[in-house]
Amino acid sequence: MTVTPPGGPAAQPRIVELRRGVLEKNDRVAGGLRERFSTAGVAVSNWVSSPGSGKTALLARLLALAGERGVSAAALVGDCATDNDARRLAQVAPVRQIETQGMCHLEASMVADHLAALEATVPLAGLDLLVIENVGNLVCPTSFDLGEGSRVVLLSVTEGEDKPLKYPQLFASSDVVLVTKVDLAEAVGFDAPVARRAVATVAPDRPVLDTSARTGQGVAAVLDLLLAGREAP
Amino acid sequence: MHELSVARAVVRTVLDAVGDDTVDSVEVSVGALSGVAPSALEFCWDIATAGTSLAGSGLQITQVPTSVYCHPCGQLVEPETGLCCPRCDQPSPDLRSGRELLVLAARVRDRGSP
Repeated sequence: MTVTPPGGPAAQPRIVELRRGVLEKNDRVAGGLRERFSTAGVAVSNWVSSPGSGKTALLARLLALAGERGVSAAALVGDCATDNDARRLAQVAPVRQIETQGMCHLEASMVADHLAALEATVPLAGLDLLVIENVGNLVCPTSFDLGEGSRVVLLSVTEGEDKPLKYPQLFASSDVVLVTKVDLAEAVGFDAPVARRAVATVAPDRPVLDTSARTGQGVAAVLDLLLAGREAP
Repeated sequence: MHELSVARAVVRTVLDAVGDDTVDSVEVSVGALSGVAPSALEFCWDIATAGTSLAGSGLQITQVPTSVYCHPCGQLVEPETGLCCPRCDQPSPDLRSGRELLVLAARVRDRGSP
């Protein structure tokens, strides 16, 4: 005699094979963005660094230079709170603030949402350059693709030469590394060769550019490098 | 602390695949360069699964080490510092593993079974 337990026969546990990317949904949105950026011919970079490394100051300089050269540039700037950065940059280029309400990183859907708002000011096809300034954080933005053509990681001279060794995951995910505030290098005793070796240890073969938002050093080189990304496949 | 976002993404992926079935455990792989801390992911698991058919399920994390192909040495190696070959100490840009962030499998039972 077969005894059927209440609720029917006890099901055997079974294994469902998945092998799916955890961030598949984000990656799908990012993939859609990348395709749009590519079709529109706009070079898009995702700027990541610790808070206070000088992303916004350098971006202001870069956008101003782009304007002088007739390069059409815009920015999406992410922060946990306030639209201070957007107001600061609005004098030089079209910009939208992404307020993450405390979240520690940007996700592709946030970029997609705010891109629509930005496009009310300037259509994507009319842009040469779009910079997405991520939330200041050297850990969490690592995992989230935003559809960018290049990931730019910034390292200020005041942070210490070994920052890349302390945050290898993010630096390893970079395409370009910018050393910022080099006008302060001497004052803080920054050892540039040691810093470059630290970058090369975790991110070999990446271009490393010295920059200063105060003096303008390196800003033209950054602009040239980012625009060259438009021709990349 | 983005591991809560990651944990929620794991939950969504599993729910999409198994529907209403009860989930006993979920297996994920986390690469050393993925930017996800396994301990933080474990910490978030109960919060992310609460109120879903994954509530009370276990989370098994397989950690994937960073590996690079060292061209001067002609072999696949696991760096101890950055992406440097432990034999010749030269960094290699030829990354072969470490970025993984995957839901591998879920152990499930039909809804209502004990």
